[in-house]
Amino acid sequence: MALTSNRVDVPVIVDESKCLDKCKACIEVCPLDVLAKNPDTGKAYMKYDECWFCLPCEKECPVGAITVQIPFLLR
Amino acid sequence: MKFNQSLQSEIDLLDEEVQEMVEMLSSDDEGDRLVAAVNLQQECDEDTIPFLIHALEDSSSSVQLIAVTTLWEMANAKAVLPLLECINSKRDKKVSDEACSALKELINQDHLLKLLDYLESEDDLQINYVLILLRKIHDVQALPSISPYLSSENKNIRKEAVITLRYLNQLTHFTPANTLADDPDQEVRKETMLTLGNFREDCIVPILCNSLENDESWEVRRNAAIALEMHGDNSSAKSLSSAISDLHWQVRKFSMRALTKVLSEEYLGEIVKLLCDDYSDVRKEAAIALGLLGSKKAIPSLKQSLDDADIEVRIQSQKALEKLNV
Repeated sequence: MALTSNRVDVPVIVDESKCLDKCKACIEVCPLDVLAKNPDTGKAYMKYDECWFCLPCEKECPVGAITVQIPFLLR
Repeated sequence: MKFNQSLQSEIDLLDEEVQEMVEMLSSDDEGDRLVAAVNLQQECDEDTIPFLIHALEDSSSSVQLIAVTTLWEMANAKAVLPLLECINSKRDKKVSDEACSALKELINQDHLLKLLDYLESEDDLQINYVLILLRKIHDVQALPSISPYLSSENKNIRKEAVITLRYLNQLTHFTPANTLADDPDQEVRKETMLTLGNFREDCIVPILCNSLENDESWEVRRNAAIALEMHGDNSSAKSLSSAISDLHWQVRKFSMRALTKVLSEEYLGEIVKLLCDDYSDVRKEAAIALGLLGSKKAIPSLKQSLDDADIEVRIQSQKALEKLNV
C-alpha cells in the first residue's frame, strides 16, 4: 500500500484537538488497517492512502474527531 | 466516579487486561473514561456489565452513550432496569434515544409492571418512551394505564398513546380513542384513523367516513381510507365512492383500494373516470377494481388502458380483461 506523503490530502481527516491519546477505536475498527497512531503526538492519522470509505472509524470515534471525505462520485 | 465496595471487589475477579480498562472508568479525566468505555465495548465481556451499568451514571453524556450501546450489544437482561433509568428528560436526548432503542430489543412480558410504574411520571419524555416500549409487549393489561394519556395536554403523548392502543392484543374497541378522531392536532388524528382501523365497533365506520369526507388534512383522509379498507364495511361504500374524486392522489388511491372490498356496479362510472387519472397508482387501482367488478361495460375503457404509459397499469388492465374473458 502507498504510504501517504501528504497528510492533509487524505480522505480520513482527524481533528487532533479532539483525538484522545489513549484511544484506538478507529484503528481497531478499520478493516484495511490504514490508520495508525502518530508516535510523536499520540494522535491517530491515516498512514496508508487506501480508504474504502466504509465509515466505521467516523462512527466509532467517541469524540467525533474523525471526518471521512467521501469522493463526489461515491456519494 | 468511584466504584462502590461491591464493584471494587468484583474488579479482582476480572482478567488483568480488562481490570485496567475498568479502573480507567473511574478516572477523573473524561478522556480516560471515554477510552475505557470504548475499550470495554470492543472487549464485549459479560463480566464487565456491572461496571458499564455504573458508567450509565457518568457525568459525561458521551461515556453514558457508549455504555448504553455496549449494554445493548451485550443484550443481557440485567441491563433493562438501569437502562429504564436513562429514558427521561434529565439525560441527553441522544442517550435517551439510544437507551429506548436498546430497550425495544431487551424488554419482555416480565417487565410490564416495571414499565407501568415508569409510565406514572411527571416527565413527558419518559411517558413518551414508555408508551413506545409498551408496543413491544402487546399486553392489554396496560390499557388502564395508557388510557389517561389519550386526553393528555401534550399532543405527542396523545399521539404515542393512540398508536400504542393498536399494538395491544385482543383490544377490539375502546371508546375514548374514538374522540381523538376530532383532535385539534393533525398527527393525532392521522394515527387515530389507523388505530380505529384495527378496532371492531359499530360506531367506528361512521367516524372514519366522516373523517374521510370532511378532514382538512389529506394525510388524515388517506389514513381513514386505509382504515376503511381494513373494515371492508358496506356502509362505507358511499363515502369511498365520493373520496375517489378527492383532490389528493393518495386519498384517491387508497379510497379506490378500499372500495374494491365493497364493490357495486353503481360506482362503475366513477371508477372508469379514474382510468384517466394523472397518477399511475390511481389508474392501476381502478383497473384492478374494474376486473373485480366484472362488468362488461368496463371493457372499452380497459382496452384503452392497454396503451397506458405505465407498465403496471397495462398489466392490471390486461389481467382485468382476462377476468372479463376478453
